[in-house]
Amino acid sequence: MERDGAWPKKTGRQGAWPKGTGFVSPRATLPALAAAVCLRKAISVLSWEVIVSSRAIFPAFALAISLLAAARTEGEETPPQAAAWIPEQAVAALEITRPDAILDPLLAPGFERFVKSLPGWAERERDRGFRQFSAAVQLFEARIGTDWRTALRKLLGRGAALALGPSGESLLIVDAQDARILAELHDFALGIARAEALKENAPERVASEEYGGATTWTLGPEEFHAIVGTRLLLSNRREVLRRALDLKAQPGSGSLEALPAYRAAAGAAPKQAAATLFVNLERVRALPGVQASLAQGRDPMGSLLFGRALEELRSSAWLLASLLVDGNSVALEAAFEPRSAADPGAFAYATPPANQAAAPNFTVPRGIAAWTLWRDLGSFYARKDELFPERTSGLIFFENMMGIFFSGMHLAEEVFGELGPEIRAVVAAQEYDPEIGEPEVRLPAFAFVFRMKDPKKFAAIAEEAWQKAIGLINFTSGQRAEPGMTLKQRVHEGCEFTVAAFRPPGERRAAAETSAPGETSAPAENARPTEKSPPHMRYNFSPSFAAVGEHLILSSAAGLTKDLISALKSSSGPAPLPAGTDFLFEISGRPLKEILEANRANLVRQNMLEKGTTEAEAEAQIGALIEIAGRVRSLRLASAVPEGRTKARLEVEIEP
Amino acid sequence: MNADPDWAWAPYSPSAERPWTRKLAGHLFRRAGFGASEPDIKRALEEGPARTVERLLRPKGPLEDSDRRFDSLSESAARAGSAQGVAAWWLRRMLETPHPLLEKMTLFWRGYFGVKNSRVRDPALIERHIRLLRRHALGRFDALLEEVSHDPAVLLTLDAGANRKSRPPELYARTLLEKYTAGAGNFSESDVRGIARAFSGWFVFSGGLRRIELEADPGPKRIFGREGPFDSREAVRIAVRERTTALHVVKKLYKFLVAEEAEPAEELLSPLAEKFAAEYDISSLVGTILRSNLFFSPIAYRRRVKSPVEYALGIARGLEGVPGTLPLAGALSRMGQDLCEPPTVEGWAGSRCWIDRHTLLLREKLAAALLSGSGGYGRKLDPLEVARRHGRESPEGALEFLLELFLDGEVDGAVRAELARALGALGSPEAERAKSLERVALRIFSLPEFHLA
Repeated sequence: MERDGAWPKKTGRQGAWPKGTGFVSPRATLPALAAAVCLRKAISVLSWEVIVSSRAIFPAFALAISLLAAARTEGEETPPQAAAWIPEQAVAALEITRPDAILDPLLAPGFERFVKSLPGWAERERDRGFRQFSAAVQLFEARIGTDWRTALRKLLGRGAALALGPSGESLLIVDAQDARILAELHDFALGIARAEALKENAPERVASEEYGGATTWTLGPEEFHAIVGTRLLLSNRREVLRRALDLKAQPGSGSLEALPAYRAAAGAAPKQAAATLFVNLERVRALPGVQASLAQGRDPMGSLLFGRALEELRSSAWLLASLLVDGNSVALEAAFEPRSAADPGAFAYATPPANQAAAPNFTVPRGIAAWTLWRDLGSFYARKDELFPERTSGLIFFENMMGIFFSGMHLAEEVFGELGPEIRAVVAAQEYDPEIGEPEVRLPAFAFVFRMKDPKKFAAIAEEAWQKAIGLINFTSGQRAEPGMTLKQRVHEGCEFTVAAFRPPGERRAAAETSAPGETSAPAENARPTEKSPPHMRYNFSPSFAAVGEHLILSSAAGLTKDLISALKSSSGPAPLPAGTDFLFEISGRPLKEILEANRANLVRQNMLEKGTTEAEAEAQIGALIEIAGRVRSLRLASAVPEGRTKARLEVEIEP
Repeated sequence: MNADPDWAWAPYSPSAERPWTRKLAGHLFRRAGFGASEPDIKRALEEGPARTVERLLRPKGPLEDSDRRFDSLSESAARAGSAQGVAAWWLRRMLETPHPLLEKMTLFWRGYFGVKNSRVRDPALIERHIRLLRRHALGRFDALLEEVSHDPAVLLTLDAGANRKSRPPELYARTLLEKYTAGAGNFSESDVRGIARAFSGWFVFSGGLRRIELEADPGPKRIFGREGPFDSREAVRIAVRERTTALHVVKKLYKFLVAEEAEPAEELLSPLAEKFAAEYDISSLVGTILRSNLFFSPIAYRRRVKSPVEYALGIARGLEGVPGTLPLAGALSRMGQDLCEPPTVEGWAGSRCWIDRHTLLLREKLAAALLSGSGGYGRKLDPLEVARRHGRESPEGALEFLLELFLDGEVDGAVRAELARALGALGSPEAERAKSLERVALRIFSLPEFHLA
């Protein structure tokens, strides 16, 4: 038995997961179990032969079978924590500590109704493999005299853990609750495995042997499991399974539980976490692909948005993600511990001073997404040579263009240095001018809002730069004989702003058809779009500039500019964010669903092209996506730097 | 090329010496389309060559629904500003069309005129150009050329978007004469000037063509010995009727449909050119070639290198699946066949230019991705499933099925034995069987014979 250095050496195919044959891989097991949650109960019973001929059903039952055998060998005493049996060489370990917290919402009637309401469900029900799977579930229900939901709760009742090794090894540990169901399931699955071998005229695949005081089983290639009490151990490598049994026999050193990094991470987990994911970053960084990725240069935009967190991750020994479930809200909290706190000077551009935070997000009509950052652009840009020693073509282009727009001003000091650290962005669905109509592809509008330190001085500089950019776009369009935009001043709630807009298509057409003396238009059939064509995509854009007090709005559409002016002028704004918050990104599900719905035809066409689906298949897939978007009430991703350490939290609120 | 023209262009009639076989049927579908499925081959074998060619030229049944659907889909991609989307819809159309020969000929004219999106910078114009080519692909050449020569996409590609009489579009006129009509060495500088002046006054604005009479040159021009105040359409008609134009077109089509390596003798092509010059009927010319003894002879069989489009779609049609054509358009572009961006205005050079170490590797990678479903293609192509669908489930049967389908059963004995050995190792579980056959299919797709059309 190997105990040194690496995860026990594997045999057979390197790094491969079992696919479709033999026993189930852990990667396949969990989705299979999750899928089972959505199964329809009332399905006609198929013959045994049909059931065993379905390879789809075998993996899903294999897990349960092995669970079952646990009850036979030993009693129901509580086993030690799963991490005590996971080898310390694991790269990552997912532990489900409160299965009910996860199963309750998944098994709730409302969720089942939602899944069945998805457009692709009817098609799925017609699928032969799915029907066989459903029939097998029903057969098993009849055999054990209870429904599959109860059985699933009993199978996963005491939790589960999945550990992954550096070369594709895996170890699944499931702590079952009910011995009788396990025994039934065990017989059921062995029957399937043997019947399948018989059907294919293949030699017996089921084998067992004694190791470390337990019986280990194999039902096929790359499938090895053992039952210890009510605990199932399942691996794709014989050596890994044996190593876990060694740890059972000799608890302590060599286990994940004994690893200092794991212990430190476990201490950071919230008590109410339903599941946690521990990642050993030292081992991850040693993986060849990751090493290559880390060796690559930094991306300026990535550094600006997540620079501090990424840098801390690079030096942290571990990462712990905790899943929290509370009613209709699901949250994922990430914590890590850099070996040394980040250089305060290096990331000052992304660290709000004590008691400060990013500005709260804007709330605008039809708002889809909003994000807010606390980033001192001036000091960020002043460190560019240090942050990006290899100048990318994108950065060079950016600097060249900014040099043109700002007439050679010093970017760090005279441009970005004039902006406060509160940066906000908004994405919102648009209302189109009835005179223009709706383009075929309806893009949401987007806008950035900055705070100027000296509005009297900088507003004029910024507007000049913006007008130069519009002029450049117009010039380029002119070179291609394409229409350009005209600048117009508008007033909203007493605030003047500038809009660059394309003339309405009707106006353009009329102008084109009024030929000057000696002009005719071409008779060619394909010379010009027809009257019935929807307006060009360009009508999604009416770039606008506004200076509202100390705020600067740069927007892709005039309508959003007006909404932002109203928001800035409103006396009742949203509550300030907690101190230390440096990043908050929010999505609202309903408007997202509406814009997806508005672009449904385009999304369907795109799906057909990308995936080669038929129109009906694409409709079903996009329909499901839109339904899922509609079920998300809100999504929030936030990061904060309390006490100099970055913490991130992703929270999703589901419609009840 | 020493074939007797009378024999060469006479319709092929199956005989005991030259029977109508799967080999010839497969050859026909590769040239007149993008490969064949097993049902295509079976039907062709039942119908014989004459009826099959007739069906390829004029398929029965309503085509309007399919055309309308694809036109609308392609237009919407163009309106969204996606050249890659336009290419992807065309690939999808090539795969699903009930009239593959029309798409094949559209592809021929696409290369013939070589319009480049990097010059046009408007996918909507490229899409309209392709539709124009399709409308005339099997129609009359004179009508095709008259429209193409006034197509904004063509004018922009040849830097002729603003044609003032002070600076007539000579590059455009030269290209029209050299590439589209008379051919190199068959026109004079006076002809170039005459055509260029005839095109003055045409401007491309916002994707449309406009005539500004003040910039037109109404004076007399001399084109191919004829003199008069010709306008652009009259000038094009003169160029089309020039003696060498028909031969120029016939020669290009010969290389596209028959054989591309050996230079055909003028005597061989003269009968076709004379007939073509009488009415410029492309369909009739294509029909004559596809029905001919020469087309079904060793002079034509496997005498062309498959383009990337033919290579990829040949796999997909044979395996009766539709992969994601958006990633496919990108992959084909990397192999040198971007449907919206021919490398030069002369179109794709083709022939051996398609093959080098790099592109061979890319072809093999593409085939592997298509079969495995990686790279965003989705798992749409399953050799075992298709073999089973056609009653060839056993390992030997499945291997033979693939060899017949993709290589007409014409494969070297040693290669066949090697493939059989590779297949013999397959295990009994279905997933292993499928993988094993997938590996054998990949080996077939890497064989030199499969790279030949």
